[in-house]
Amino acid sequence: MNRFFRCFITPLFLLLFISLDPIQGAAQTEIQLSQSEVEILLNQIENTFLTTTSLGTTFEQEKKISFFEDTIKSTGALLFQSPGKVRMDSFSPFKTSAILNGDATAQYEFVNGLWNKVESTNNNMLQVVMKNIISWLQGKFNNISLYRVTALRVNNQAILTLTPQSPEYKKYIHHFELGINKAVNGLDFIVIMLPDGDYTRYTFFNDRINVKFSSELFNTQATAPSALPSWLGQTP
Amino acid sequence: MKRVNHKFVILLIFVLAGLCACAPRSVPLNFSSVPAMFLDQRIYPEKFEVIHRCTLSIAGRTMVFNGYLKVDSPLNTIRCVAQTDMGATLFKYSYQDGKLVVSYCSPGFKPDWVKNFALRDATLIYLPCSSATLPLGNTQERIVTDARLTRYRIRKGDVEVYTAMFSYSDPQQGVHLFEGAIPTTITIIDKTLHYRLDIRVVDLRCIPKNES
Repeated sequence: MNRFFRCFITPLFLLLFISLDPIQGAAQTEIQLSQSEVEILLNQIENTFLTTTSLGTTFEQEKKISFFEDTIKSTGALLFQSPGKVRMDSFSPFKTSAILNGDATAQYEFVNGLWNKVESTNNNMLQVVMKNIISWLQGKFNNISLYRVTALRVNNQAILTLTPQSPEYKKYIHHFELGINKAVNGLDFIVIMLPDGDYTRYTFFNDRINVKFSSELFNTQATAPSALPSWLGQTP
Repeated sequence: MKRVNHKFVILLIFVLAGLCACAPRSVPLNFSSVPAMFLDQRIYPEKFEVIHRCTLSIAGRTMVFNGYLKVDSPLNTIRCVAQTDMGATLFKYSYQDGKLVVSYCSPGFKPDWVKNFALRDATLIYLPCSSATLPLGNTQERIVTDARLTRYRIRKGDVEVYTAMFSYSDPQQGVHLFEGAIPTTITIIDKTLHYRLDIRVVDLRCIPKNES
């Protein structure tokens, strides 16, 4: 019996494992694009993204912090109106709203059943981040002074990796991953990868593009943010 | 080649990353003069993770951020990272065996602030401190209402220099708070260091004893 195992069963198992490996590999085909293919893809993205004049989407944020047991999840919505309006709302575990309208920003917190406008002094920071989001929503990824752009095709989905060029910047952001949706007119996800391995991932779903938004949604002067369209989910 | 917008690069570095080039360093701290706010530490589990929503007003500035803390009371350790909504890190530290190691600190956030209030407030709220003595001339007071600590204050003579206020409102829907009478809102006003910190405890999860 032992000899039977040694001579037949063990090699059969080995053979099975070896033959299974390429099958598993085939389930997740990953193709690294050449630099010229990346250029073509970026042009295509910019051309199709530019046709998007407005966008509404819900998202799930997953935050991985090395010393936390589980991934921290939160949900929210993102609104974009070309050329310079963006609004990001968080629904859970706490409600917030951040609005950029041109050069004006507003930040709101929902506390004890009421919206409070936060006169935050890091609104300049907020403005820069949100303007960066706008440039990505406009398909402008090819900023070679800021990032080295590489791309993968994973199961027919294009994933861009933006690696900071500046040594200073690299200390703080390892890279960004941006999943381009199959219609190549929006993003499926953004991953912000930090050098210590912690990351924040936004997964977008329920996108609607080129919908008409009320200008009130981007009002930065109001004492409370205007209620979101019902299809975007929560409204207090 | 596109023109480099240096201002944008610098701002993006400071903001998206939110981290500062302050090298990891170890600062020995002496907390013997600082008493824990809660006399009865059984209010919190021994090991837990907690998420704070914070609004900090200091030096004429207001910052909103999230604090993620892991506390191990028997080992007297706290690990903490503070991040903005967009995932930028403001500061990150670990405190173990009486030593503070600040691994990241953003440009808008002074490393001294981490030591003087971020860590101090966290240890006051979450870690036991049995041999507490106050600086000469300072007195402490705990106000308990309905068997819950509602106010903790330190006075220097007649002046209230440090106040922490606690409220125990019902947790928000969907928040999985530890099933205990823990405060859900904490307000700290430090008149010596001139800051006000409003903390909303949005989640607190107990870590089973067999897990690290």
